[in-house]
Amino acid sequence: MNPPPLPEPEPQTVPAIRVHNLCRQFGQIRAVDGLSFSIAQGQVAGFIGANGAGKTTTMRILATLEYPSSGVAEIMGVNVMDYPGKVREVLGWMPDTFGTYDNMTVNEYLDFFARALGYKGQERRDRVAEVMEFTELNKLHDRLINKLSKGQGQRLCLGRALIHDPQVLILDEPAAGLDPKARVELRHLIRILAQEGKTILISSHILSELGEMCDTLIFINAGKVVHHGTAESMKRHGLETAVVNVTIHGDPAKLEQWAITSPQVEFLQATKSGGKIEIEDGSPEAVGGVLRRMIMDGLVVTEFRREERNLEDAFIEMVGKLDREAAAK
Amino acid sequence: MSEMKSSETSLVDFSDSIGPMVVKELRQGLRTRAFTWAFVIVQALLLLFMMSGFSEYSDSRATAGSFWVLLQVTLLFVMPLRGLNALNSEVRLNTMELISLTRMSAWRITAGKWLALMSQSVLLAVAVLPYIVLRYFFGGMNVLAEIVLLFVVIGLSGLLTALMVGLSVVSNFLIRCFFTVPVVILTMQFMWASVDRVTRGDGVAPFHLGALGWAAIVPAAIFLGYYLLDMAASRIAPEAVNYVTRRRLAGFVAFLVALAIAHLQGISAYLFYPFFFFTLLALDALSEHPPTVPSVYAPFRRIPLGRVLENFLAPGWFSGMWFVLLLSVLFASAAVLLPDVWTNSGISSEGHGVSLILGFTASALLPLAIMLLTRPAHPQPIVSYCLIAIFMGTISATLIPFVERGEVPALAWLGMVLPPVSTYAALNDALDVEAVLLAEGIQVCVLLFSIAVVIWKWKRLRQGMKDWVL
Repeated sequence: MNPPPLPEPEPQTVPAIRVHNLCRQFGQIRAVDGLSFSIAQGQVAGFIGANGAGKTTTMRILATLEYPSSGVAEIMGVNVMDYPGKVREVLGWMPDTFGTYDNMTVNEYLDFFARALGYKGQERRDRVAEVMEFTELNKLHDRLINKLSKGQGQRLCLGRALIHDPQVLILDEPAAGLDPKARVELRHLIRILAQEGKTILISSHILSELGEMCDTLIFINAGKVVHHGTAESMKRHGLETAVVNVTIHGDPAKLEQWAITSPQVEFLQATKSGGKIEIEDGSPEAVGGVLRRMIMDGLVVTEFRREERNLEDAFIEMVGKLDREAAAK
Repeated sequence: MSEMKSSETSLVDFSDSIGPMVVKELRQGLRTRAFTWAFVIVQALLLLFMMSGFSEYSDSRATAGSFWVLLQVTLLFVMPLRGLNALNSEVRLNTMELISLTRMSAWRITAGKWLALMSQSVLLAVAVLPYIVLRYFFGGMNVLAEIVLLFVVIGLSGLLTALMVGLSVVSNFLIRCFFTVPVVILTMQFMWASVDRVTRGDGVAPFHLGALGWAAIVPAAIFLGYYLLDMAASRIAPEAVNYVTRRRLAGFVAFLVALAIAHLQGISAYLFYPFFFFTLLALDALSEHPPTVPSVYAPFRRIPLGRVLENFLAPGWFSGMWFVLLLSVLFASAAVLLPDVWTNSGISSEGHGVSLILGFTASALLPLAIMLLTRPAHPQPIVSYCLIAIFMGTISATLIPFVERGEVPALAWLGMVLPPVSTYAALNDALDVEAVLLAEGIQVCVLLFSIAVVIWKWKRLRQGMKDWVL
């Protein structure tokens, strides 16, 4: 009673993760609603969204733990519904909470999962040792796992996900509840994994960290993709105007006078050696054009710095806008 | 030196030949207080009994009784009851999902849990062997009988552990009690009977079953153990994994064999087996949601007559209903074609046999229909199904005396919609012919109503998933 023969995907060209028109319905609630995105091999992607946006459900579908109501989800070109066993060979999953066993040490825990993944003898011992070294758990070798701190537990959980050296890692809120030191340690481990070329899909509420770690961010709301792009593009997403801090050489009042006579530019605030202006059209071309005009009009511009929202601000603004739109409907 | 290293390595790697779940469970289990205390207490008390055996006033029968009570309480109650937490604890600790992402199948997880508990039970049993030998030297015992009893106790412990591991997927306390309490009572009866016989020095009694008895009981017990573990495995397995087809086929064969033995041997007591298997298969088949994963149905579409087989063997309550109806038809056919065994059992005619089976079938299907109408999306359908069936059974048991006495006719006739009540009425020779016919008519109506509800619900479900599943 096996599914049809597995089609051989093109190894290099297929995205590591592909989701197309994915839906998951729980009774009357649509947790995931026509979600589509893809992540290329070797990329680190951040998965963001408010609580209940559908992140965990999507990740669980990708991890073969949940079934979609419709749509397609593929890992390395393999359909997660039809060939869950094949997907699990290349996938490492780290849930937001991991259960601990009573009466079991760190070494025994990793050893059990290595056995369960089919490793035997010396190979098994080597894999466990390698993972313990990578996650810096060697010193905790014989400690009972219910005695570990939250940070140590998360490292152990990451270690478990890495036992079979998977190509794709899905990490659901790995930094939740960690103190700053443990967060830095975990981020360091994820960076090393990214350098090794692993594809990582990671969800977190700490957006600044995601912005630093990820090549791309996928922002979902109510089960739909709202934005997919770099952290920079997300910061600018939905911004129609640009706020620019300008420093000039000479009398700073010249900048205000110039702004009054310039169309599409508004002077917001004076500073010691210049001021803050707002440009109506926030596109890079328009902003560049304003700088060009300043120079042509004889202002000696020593600094021209566009103010950017941080990711948290962008996220909150975007969620607020979506909520307002939903309320208006 | 190198030889020593090689032997050391092979000793270290010995555990590779055992399943990962067994290794894990043994590592954890041998450290639990339940096991260590059970082991220490059994050893301490046995030592005490043996020392008292040296006394000139000692009674060898009392020593034997204490020995067997202690051992059986440990092997038949303490160790199997630990299984009640086996799978549920993994689900509660969020570790089941992590295990399911490895190469371990749900069956290996479940069997590993059972095997680890059994290993601990066997370890306890082996540790008491020296005391049996010691008691032999004191005299007044039948070594063969006690060794046979030890094997029977270990076998029964295995079956009870399988039942408890199977029950461990059910989180509802009431359902757990419903199945556990009668088993505990029966096991206590077995324990007192066996201890009584052993202390009287009655050989291997009460196990004088004869060759046919053993030949019937041992395979039935092994099959039952397998079936219970497989039921549990199926309920923790991912939706895409189909354990049901294999299990239903195995159950079907077991049912046919039991039916054939009962009818060909003409021993009415043996009718217990087909009835037992029918109940077990019906409970299993009617209490599973149909999967919504295409790969489960795809294999049926690739073989000749696959669509027909899908209606009986695909997972879920819809095919489960047709499967149960097939069993009923076979059972009823046997009652009509070979009526002797039924008349021997006190049922006056083959017609009554058919009526009994009809009532059984309606009793199995009505809780499913009620479940689909009231709680269609319960995550553990076996809980809903059993709760409805228990409620139905309780009401029926209350109403049957009214039917028998005819004191409150309105209440009695209202109760007829419950299949156990109408079946009782249909089999009751004291009632007049019209009443019996009416009872049988109600039985058929309830059965048809249940079938109609299941088909209607299935069509609605199918409509929702036809674009991509079916």
